[in-house]
Amino acid sequence: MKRMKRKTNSEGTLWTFPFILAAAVLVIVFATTIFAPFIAPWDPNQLDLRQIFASPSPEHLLGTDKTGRDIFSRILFGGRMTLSGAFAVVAISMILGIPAGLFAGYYGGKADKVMMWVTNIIVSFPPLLLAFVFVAVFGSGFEKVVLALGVIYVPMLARTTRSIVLTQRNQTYVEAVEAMGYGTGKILFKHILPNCMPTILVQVTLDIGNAILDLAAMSFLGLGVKPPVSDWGAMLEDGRVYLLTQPLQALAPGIMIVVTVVAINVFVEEIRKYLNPSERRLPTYRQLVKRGLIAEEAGR
Amino acid sequence: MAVSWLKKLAEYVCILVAVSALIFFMIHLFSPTDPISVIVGGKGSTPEIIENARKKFYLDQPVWKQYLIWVQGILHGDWGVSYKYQTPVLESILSRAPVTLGLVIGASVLSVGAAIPLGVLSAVKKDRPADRIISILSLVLAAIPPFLLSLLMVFALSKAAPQYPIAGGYEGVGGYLWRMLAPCIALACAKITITLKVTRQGMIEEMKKPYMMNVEAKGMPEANRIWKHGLKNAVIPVISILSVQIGAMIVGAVLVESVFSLSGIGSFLIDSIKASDYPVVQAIILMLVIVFLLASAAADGLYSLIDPRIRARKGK
Repeated sequence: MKRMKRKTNSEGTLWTFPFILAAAVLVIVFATTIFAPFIAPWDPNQLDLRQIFASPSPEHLLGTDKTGRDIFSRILFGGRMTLSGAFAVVAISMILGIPAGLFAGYYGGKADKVMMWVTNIIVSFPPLLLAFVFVAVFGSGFEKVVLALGVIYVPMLARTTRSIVLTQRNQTYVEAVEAMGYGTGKILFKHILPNCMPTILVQVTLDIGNAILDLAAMSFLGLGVKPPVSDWGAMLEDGRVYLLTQPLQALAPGIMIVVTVVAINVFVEEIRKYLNPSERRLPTYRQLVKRGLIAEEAGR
Repeated sequence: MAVSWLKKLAEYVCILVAVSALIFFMIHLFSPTDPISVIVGGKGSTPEIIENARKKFYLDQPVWKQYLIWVQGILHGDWGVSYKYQTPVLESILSRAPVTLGLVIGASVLSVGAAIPLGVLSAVKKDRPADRIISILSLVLAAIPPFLLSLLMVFALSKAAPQYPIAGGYEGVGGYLWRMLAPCIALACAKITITLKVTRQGMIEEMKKPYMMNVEAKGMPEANRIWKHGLKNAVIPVISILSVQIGAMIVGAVLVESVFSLSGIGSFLIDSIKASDYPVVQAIILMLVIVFLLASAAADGLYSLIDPRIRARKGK
């Protein structure tokens, strides 16, 4: 344990203490929500009017809400909505954003300039405001909000992809496959894309965290999921009225959101540090001696 | 100089026209709700009432003509009439403006005021306990949605200081400031992370530069070195994210308003979206876009005010 604590990216390893902790939290959160039907002790929508506002007990781990529904089970099933929604948002943005970024970065020219101008404007607006506009036009609902956020996340991802493609474009391997007469699609997706993937994946993972927060906000405002289905944001909104008498009902989904997003951010930060060696801290003289990598100089 | 300003102005006008047209046509062509049902409501309506409502809101005109009427109205200071309340939109927005403006300005001042010193401290004490604590705190604050932070504050306040007004109206300037204090703190905390991170990063890079060593060799006290020489250079990227931050603040205000039951522009926008009150929705969104553009223009101006190098480059 003591040794693990000392490992803070100084040795160029990914397996640092924060990384392991974050990964463990994420595994637990995802596993419990994916297997919610097997883990949840109650049906999340089952009313039990004899058991309203029950305090936490072995039977109801986190108590019950105003209609006697088990909060623990609702957290598990609510997490399914929130997390699957966040993944869907990111999937949509990847399907549209990555090809757009690849083509813009590879071809350049006027189309690229126009695209950059438009994305620059879109990116300067907060995603939630754009989501409000979307919902105002097309109506509210979970699927619509997911679709809207997916589209709203596209410019950011396209921009990230484009910026890496620009660094790859003039490399020798691209020249080589061009000289071999490969088709553009093959060059872009089979040769350039794999080299861009690490940075894209970092951005995408970060976007999952952002999507969780944005989805929760939309549901909290009543623009997302519709009852009886619930996600963490909507549960927070439900529990808000009973904050003083039954704080767990609002705090539990809130804590889940924060823990998940913090874990994602730490996870990404550690990977980013690992991929970017200039941010790694070099081992100190003492550490090198200890590991026997250099001999201790006399008199030092 | 003048040319670059004109170019910027032309770009802003283009953006405004494009955004206004986009919002208007999207709402009027795609929205699933018929405006008439919102205007007339559930009351027993005769064909005559419907016909009158159509006339009053220009719904009998083609959409492009409605757009021109709308834009013309805005240029004359008439932002349209609410479907639901049948009152001028501008009036309703202005009556709610003090809450949102106060929230956004107060929270911006608080968060920048806290983020810059903390960021500098964190950079100076890089990798030491103070930096670690600040980093962890900002990491957690970035992951807490503003509405949850507000909820926690409401919870804590009602336990610790039951007499603090967390709901209801306010009286006088003192009452207003007192009532706005808690929501401002909540919003400021929720939006502090980016400013803090940018300040820290900028400061760390500044401290590595050779001129710092020169100032140190000259025997200048550390406080002077950091706050006068380093910060002045490090603060420039902070300004450039300011306009983005203000956008985030406005959206955050929507969420914070609803928890602290303040009736501001944000909650008005959400209510109008839910009620399909389109004149209000399009007016508020257009206003927010104008605010963003003004903010980024102000950031541009502030840039050249602080950094003479940018001024010189622009003058060429």
